[in-house]
Amino acid sequence: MQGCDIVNNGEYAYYASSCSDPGTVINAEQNWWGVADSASIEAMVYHRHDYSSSPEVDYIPFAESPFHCDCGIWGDVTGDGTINPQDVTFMVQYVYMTNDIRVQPPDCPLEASDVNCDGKVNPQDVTYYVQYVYMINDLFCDGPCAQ
Amino acid sequence: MNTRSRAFAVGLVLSFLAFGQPLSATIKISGTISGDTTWTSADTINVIGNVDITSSGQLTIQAGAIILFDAGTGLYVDGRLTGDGESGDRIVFTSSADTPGGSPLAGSWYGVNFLTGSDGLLRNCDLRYATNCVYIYRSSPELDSCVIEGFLGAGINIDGYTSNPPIAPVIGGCVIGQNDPGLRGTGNGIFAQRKVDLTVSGCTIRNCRIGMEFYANISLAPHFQVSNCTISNHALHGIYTHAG
Repeated sequence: MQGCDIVNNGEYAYYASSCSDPGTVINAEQNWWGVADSASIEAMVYHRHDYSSSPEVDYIPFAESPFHCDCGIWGDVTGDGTINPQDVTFMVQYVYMTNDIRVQPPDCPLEASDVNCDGKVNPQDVTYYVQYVYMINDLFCDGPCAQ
Repeated sequence: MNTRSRAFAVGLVLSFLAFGQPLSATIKISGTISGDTTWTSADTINVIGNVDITSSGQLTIQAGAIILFDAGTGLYVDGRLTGDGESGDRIVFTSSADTPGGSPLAGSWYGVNFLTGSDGLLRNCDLRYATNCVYIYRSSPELDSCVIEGFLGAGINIDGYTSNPPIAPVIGGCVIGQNDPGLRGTGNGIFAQRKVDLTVSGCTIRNCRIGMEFYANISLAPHFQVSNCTISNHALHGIYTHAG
């Protein structure tokens, strides 16, 4: 596996249990594990170094930054997979009522709702959401996913 | 709807707007599909008993169609299933309780099941509230840009058994996970076992018990190519591989 972001998992990012051929090496190079130092990644990977009957998970070299946004779709701050009236409701509540109603734990960082990329989450973003959802007018910036 | 099936139990319930315009029909269906059948977006399909597509059968579901499954029912494919939605006009497979004011339960129906030798495509489809939303046994369908959630067992459950050559399902651009925070920790995003050559790319897999689990018998091991995915926020592990 490669080019993946494997982050924020409860126990292990990768748990390789015992196998019939413990000489097996699993190629997991070039992934982002949420950190960029091998000692921290090692603590998130259960493999031969932890149990001799497990295969080795080869995670070096690893990526030093994420490949993707934390959300699948730029602007989908509620993390339900689409940009829809729920996101508009969130934005109105957040911007005008300081009420954060994202699903918990949030699937997307708040920055994902800065859809005009001016560094702020403000009424202008609300306008963009309304135009996108109700008027099919895409004014969103590309966001970090397009980098 | 064009159908040569003989064993359908079909009932029509027509709904009308206040001005007498037809809104849509709900078509109640169970039984077998042995010829070419098309489900359109004009009607809502309510599956009231298992639907089986025989090895000679072919079901095409058009973009925008909504398929509602009563508790304990499922769609079983021995022939071919094509559900080719569009990004803005998706096909929905869900519990019949997944309606405004309804209370759908995770795992209430038995999913879309691709059985031995079957073939299929699900593109731009939403599948939710099944035990396994998609079950693949000794077949190699393609899943593209689907959203899968609200499952109890697995979002996608794959078993190649002793297939030779191994089955080779392809999963791309899908979002698989539990959106209800109460379900986080329930079910695996993808579970694959035995003779499988699995390709997963561009998927987001999140908020499950385990994101991806690969299980091998001593001589029957799955192989997997996973690329450009986000695997996050799982209660236990992102990826779990183990052998019997």
